[in-house]
Amino acid sequence: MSKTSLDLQTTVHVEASNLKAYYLTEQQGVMKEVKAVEDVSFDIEGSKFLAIVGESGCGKTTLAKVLYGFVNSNLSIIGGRICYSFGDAQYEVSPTANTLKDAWWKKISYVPQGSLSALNPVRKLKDIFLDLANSHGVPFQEEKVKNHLKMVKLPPYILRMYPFELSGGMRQRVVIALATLLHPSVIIADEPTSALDVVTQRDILRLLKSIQVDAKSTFIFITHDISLVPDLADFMAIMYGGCIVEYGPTEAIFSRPLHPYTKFLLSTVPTIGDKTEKQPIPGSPVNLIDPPPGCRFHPRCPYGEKICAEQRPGLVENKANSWECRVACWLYR
Amino acid sequence: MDDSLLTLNRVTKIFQIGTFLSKVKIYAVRDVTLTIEKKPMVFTLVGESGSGKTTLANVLLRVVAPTEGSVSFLGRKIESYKKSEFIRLVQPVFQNPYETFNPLKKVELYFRSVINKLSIVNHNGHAAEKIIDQALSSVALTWEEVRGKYLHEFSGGQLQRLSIARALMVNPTLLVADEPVSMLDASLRVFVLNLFRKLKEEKQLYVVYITHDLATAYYISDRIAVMLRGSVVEMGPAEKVLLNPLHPYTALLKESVPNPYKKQGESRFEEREEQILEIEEYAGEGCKFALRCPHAKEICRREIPADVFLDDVLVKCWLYK
Ligand SMILES: Nc1ncnc2c1ncn2[C@@H]1O[C@H](COP(=O)(O)OP(=O)(O)OP(=O)(O)O)[C@@H](O)[C@H]1O
Ligand SMILES: Nc1ncnc2c1ncn2[C@@H]1O[C@H](COP(=O)(O)OP(=O)(O)OP(=O)(O)O)[C@@H](O)[C@H]1O
Ligand code: SF4
Ligand SMILES: [Mg+2]
Ligand SMILES: [Mg+2]
Repeated sequence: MSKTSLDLQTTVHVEASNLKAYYLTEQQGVMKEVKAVEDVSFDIEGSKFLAIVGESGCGKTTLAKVLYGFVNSNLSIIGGRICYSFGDAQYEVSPTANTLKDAWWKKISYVPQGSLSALNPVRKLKDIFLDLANSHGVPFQEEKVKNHLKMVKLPPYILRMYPFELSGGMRQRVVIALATLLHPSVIIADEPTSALDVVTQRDILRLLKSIQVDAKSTFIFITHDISLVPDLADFMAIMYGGCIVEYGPTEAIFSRPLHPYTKFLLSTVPTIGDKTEKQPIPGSPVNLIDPPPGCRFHPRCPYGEKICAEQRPGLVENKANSWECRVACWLYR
Repeated sequence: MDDSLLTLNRVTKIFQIGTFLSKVKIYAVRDVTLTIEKKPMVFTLVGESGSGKTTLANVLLRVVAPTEGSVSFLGRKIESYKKSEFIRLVQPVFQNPYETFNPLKKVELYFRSVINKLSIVNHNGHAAEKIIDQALSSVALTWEEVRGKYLHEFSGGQLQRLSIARALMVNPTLLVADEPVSMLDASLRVFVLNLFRKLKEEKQLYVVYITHDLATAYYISDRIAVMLRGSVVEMGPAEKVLLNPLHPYTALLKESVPNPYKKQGESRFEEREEQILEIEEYAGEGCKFALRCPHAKEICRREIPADVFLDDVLVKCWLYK
């Protein structure tokens, strides 16, 4: 609502390098580490849409929390760092520093998984918007909020309603309206559509894409459903067992997946018109408390070689590909 | 009539709800008639959120009583079955796995009690654990992962699979599975759908599969019924309905399925400037799709379309006569 970094047309730069974040958890009286984010690096410059895709439990939500500097005594950053540069200001999250909190809502916002069910049930929507504005020292102007609601295609009278009176899709729009109210230039959205039906999901995805394009912001979108990514994201990162195993332009990954896990992931998506029996990925997901040595995918990989079980492959550029892709797999060395 | 597994005859369920406007009546299920023939199959109910799928499932499961109409299973009214008899024949997988298990009870107790009730073996024995382990392995879980744990120690996807395993242990004739794979990633999703296929073929299991996702519906269904705000608006062989949808609403559902291999292109359905409240559609007098349908005519808003059969596909839409 105030003049923002967006209007200044600053270039956003997000740089994650070797991020490592573990949970501490108790198992039968013994404290153990859950190695949920392991050595994650990526780099985004300017207004981009990045999707992070992976199976349930692979560490996506944990990565989202780390990227937002949303860590506590239970989840800690063990190594690496994430830096944000908004032209005029720099912020970072690392094992020793967390300055990102100062940028929350105004420069970077976060839509946590399941947040459409987390709206305060006893407050009217108007008050929810009011609270957000007040807590950031921004004057609450109802007309502006109504205009903002129009952008997410909500009628103004919903301000008089309670969250439970709205459908899931409308609540998700409210959440998006809140996240974008103060015009942040980076938005992290964790599974924003997985609780919605396909029709509503498609509308919400279109909305997110149009916000990203119109506001020239940077989106980090997290999902377990790889079929949502085309038409939405410019870049994608495939996550497996806490690690990024493939990274590149969406088109490149879809037309020529490199990592064996990515290939499996793409082959399990059912489509209308195809009744041939699909094969699930053999074996079971990584236990992040006791991950396998070497490549974390090797126990399930049909191409595994000796080295795969011994040494973890780093994410390196793939020269054979005309696209700028990176893959973490010994087959491409 | 008698050679059917399940028959719904003009089933209606009305809810009264209070809203910011006033008290309104919602026909969560409206005048639904359908038959599942006696030939093992996956019968799918699809529809958007709030289209009455769960309410219809709850009627089949005797969880809610219909306001009007009746349901027969194997030639008898469902109310006439004794509870113990009914649960051996018909098993549910509820939509919300977090509500399926009591947070204060160890999840394994649910499995032990099934064994106990069906007096398969002495439920304390080692044999019981073996049976549980078998049931769990059919959904890619192990006894190790489950033993001693409570609800909050499982992920949503694990709870969904636990609830499927528990239902299948009874060896039911009919499984009513409400969004059973919504929290699973693509690989596990295929795993569970393949299990349904296999049980249908090998154990003559019937499945009522409830989903909003036409891609998985296509993968496993034999027959399909499309629900819109309480009514079945299209019904027939899954292959036909999904490859060549007749009702504009079915076409919208189909178009909304994310397909990674097809460019989205232009939609025939324009996005509205403002969202429509679900109750506005329920309150409409004619076709419940009229507010969104690109083909809507005057009559669509006024009168509920009649049932039209085109070959073996039923469709309720004024475009067809
Ligand atoms: N608060 C916590 N304490 C200990 N372990 C946790 C905690 N939260 C998550 N985990 C574990 O960390 C791992 C990664 O969890 P995370 O929530 O990041 O997965 P995800 O990829 O987001 O999965 P989903 O698709 O199901 O949301 C899992 O093994 C999970 O059990
Ligand atoms: N116990 C209830 N009391 C009042 N209204 C109800 C009740 N249960 C369902 N409804 C209403 O009936 C309609 C149909 O709901 P139902 O849960 O059957 O839909 P659904 O197709 O299963 O949706 P979803 O995909 O979201 O699960 C909705 O408008 C809902 O709000
Ligand atoms: S009856 Fe009318 S409004 Fe309903 S789907 Fe058919 S054409 Fe559209
Ligand atoms: Mg998550
Ligand atoms: Mg439901």
